Amino acid sequence: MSRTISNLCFIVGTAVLSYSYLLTDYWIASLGFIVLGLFWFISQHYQYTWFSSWVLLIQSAVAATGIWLGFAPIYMAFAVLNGLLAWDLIAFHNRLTLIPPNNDFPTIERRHLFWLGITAVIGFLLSAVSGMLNIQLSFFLTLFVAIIAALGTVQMISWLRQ
Amino acid sequence: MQRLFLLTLIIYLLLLAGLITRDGHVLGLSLIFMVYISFSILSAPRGLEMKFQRQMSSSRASPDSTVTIKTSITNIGSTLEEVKILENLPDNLSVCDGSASQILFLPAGKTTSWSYTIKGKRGAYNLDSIDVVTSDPFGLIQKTKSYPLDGQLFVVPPILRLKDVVIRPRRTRVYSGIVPSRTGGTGIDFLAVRDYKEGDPTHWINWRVSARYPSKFFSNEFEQERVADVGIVLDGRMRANLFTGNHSLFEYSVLAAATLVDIFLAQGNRVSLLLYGKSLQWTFPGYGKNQRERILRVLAQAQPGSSQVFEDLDNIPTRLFPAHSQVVLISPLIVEDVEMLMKLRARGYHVIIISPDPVTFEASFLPDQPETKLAERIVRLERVLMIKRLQRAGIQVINWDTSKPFDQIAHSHLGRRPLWIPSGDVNP
Repeated sequence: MSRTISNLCFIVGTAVLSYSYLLTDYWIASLGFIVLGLFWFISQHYQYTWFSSWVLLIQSAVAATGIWLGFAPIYMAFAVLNGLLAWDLIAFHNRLTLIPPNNDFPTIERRHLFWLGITAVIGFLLSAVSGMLNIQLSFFLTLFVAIIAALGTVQMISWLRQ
Repeated sequence: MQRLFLLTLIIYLLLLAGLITRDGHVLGLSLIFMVYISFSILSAPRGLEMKFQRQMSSSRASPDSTVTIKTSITNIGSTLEEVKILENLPDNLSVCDGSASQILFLPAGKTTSWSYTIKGKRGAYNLDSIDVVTSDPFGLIQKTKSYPLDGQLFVVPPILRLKDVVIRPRRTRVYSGIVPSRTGGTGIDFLAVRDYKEGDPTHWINWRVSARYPSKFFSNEFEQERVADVGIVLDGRMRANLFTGNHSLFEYSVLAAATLVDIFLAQGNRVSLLLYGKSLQWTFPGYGKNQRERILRVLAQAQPGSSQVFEDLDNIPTRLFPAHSQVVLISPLIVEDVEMLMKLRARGYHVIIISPDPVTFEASFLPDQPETKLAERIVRLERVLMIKRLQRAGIQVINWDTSKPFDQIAHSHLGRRPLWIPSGDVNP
């Protein structure tokens, strides 16, 4: 099931990006996404797992560019979210296929989809809500947030290195 | 970690793009990835506390037989979404049925078990650890731990069933067995005629001889049958066993050793094993099933090796074998070995050599060319001459063409001979 959902998510994500670019006469980019999608399916067939990571990176970059070009941010967020779901489900599917199936596989798959669904909904809502917020921070508050962000980054890097 | 790195990279790129373009929506895109990573970090496994139990259907097996391993795991820590169990199986063991590795969902306190069947080549295998890899539901953050377990599997060499093997060492032990001891007493085989002694059963009286001497009776004397000391020397020298293209005769030698150990012990003899190769590995003489098991376990681990000290057979410690006992050498033989073997015979040992034929063995891997054929003929002539020299010294040499089964060769060369065939060593 995870494989089917990942394919579906990828198709939806690519279709949204492609359609958005097509609407604004960037038909070459739109065609490029379709070709990329075909390569994605081919890479899945030949088990080139690294390719999906590159596609996620490209999709994110294209979505950010789309927002900069003035496309609807909600569509771009939706496309990125679908790309992330497809990427995660491919990795999940690959993890499971390394080992012969057992009785726990349906449970693991169900729970994975459940947690992924919750994360996707929260992420999408936060992304959508963040676009509506417009906060003016004072200089010192901005500086404080920047220092907190820097410390947080250092902490995270040290945590990851452990 | 690569997946986590990719997501972090995307987040930083989006944040950078958002700051450059001063567009909050681009920053908002990064929130999707941030939520994903945050969930992974929050649900990452904190610790791994598990209990393992492993049951093996047998700690020893033959190469054709299978062993079933049942492993059970109890999670005594918190709930684990994805647990990957990886059994560290050695290369020479293969899984025939089931799967050695598993991916499981383990709620706190749950016990789950699985079983699988393995088989493998001859050897001693340590199955002494199991690796557990657990991760968050998205597989971004992993934690690995290795758990020690008890488990050792011996795949002992196959044993061919021989009906009987006849040996005649000069000296036997005191216990009764089936080796003719060259001394008179109770037995089956006729040995000699002697004067009648009081107490001899009447059916022992040799009436034909007694009729020639009216005033005397004569009794038949029988040959006592006892157990003997048998020392088996397995030649594990690399130079004697290894041939073109890494083909080795050692497996054949091990097969012959295991088969002979089995039959000699079944006959009640006291058997010892000396593995002569990289070093000396000596199995102390003993009787019965325990000794059989001990030797088979040594044979399971036996590997050919090379050492400057044990390059030739000169350093065989003959003191390990009782005087005038039976010594069985299992070796492909090289020309330099002849002198030492003749010395061994001269010291009074009854020597049998089982020699897997290296010429036929190596020739089977070589191309069918006139040069190869000529070389084969020359090497074979050298080998025949070497065997003739050994036979002239009173050593029984069995040249074993390894394309034929060992039991067939052993039966025809070491089995009890029909009465119409005169005694003496059998030519190869």
